[in-house]
Amino acid sequence: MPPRPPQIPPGRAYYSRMRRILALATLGLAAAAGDPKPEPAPRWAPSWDAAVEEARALNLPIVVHRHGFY
Amino acid sequence: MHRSVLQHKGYIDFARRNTVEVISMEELDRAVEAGEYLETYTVKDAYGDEVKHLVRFPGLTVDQLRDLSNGPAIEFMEGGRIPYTAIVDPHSGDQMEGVRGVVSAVDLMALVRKHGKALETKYGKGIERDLWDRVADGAVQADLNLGEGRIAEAMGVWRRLAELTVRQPEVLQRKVEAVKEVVLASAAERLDALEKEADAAKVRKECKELARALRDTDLEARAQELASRK
Repeated sequence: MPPRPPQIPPGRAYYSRMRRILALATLGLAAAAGDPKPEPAPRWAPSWDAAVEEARALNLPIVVHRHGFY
Repeated sequence: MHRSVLQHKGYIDFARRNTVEVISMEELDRAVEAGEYLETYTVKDAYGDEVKHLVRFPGLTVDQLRDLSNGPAIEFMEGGRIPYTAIVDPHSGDQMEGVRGVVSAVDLMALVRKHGKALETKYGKGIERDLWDRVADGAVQADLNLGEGRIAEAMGVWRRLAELTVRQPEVLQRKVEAVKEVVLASAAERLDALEKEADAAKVRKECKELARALRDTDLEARAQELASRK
């Protein structure tokens, strides 16, 4: 294993350089046991910029749902 | 929240193939202060880090929901009344259609189909979502390999992504190229370290493997030169 500065945790060494590509990655997301189950829902874009980038690449419309809690 | 659409199985399946979905909520800070509606569940991401996602908005943290709720999505609120649904052209940023009040899942799907066809006529067919996801997940795999010092494996991930996207639009190829740049930067750092390594047998062994992994790149010759060092 190559030497790494100690302040960089293993597996995060290149995270900042790749963060734009990683924005939409779904790999490895696993819910913890005992937690409430997520409700059924569409896959939400994590940010407006990510939504625009993905929608342009996939050439799909963005659907914005504006709702309220109260 | 408008469950008749957002929890409608038919709409959820439809959205996977036909839309990019953005949620934007009013009075989020009030809900945070009151400790209401924002129950979370914990997920571990690919790096093993725990992240709390919202039960009602799976995949989103409360901070992401706040940014979405205060971001450009608000611009599409005609009349300032909720609920409001906007169908947006991602290329121009213009609203293609806005619906005030409640809309049924069936009606919304019909509107999305209409505007999706218009986008395809104007801009052509887009990238398949599965492929888009595979590139994003491949970048994580490459990154995890680099974090563990497995440069050859990371190069292998890049090569598979490159093959997968060879005839794909430039936007996807740019992402794959970015993976390659990061992997090669890591490989160059490793070769720098090996150049200073005193254990010649170790250097030869590792550089032989690196030279194979780095074939047809600018670093191949350097790895070969180190692999043949006495």
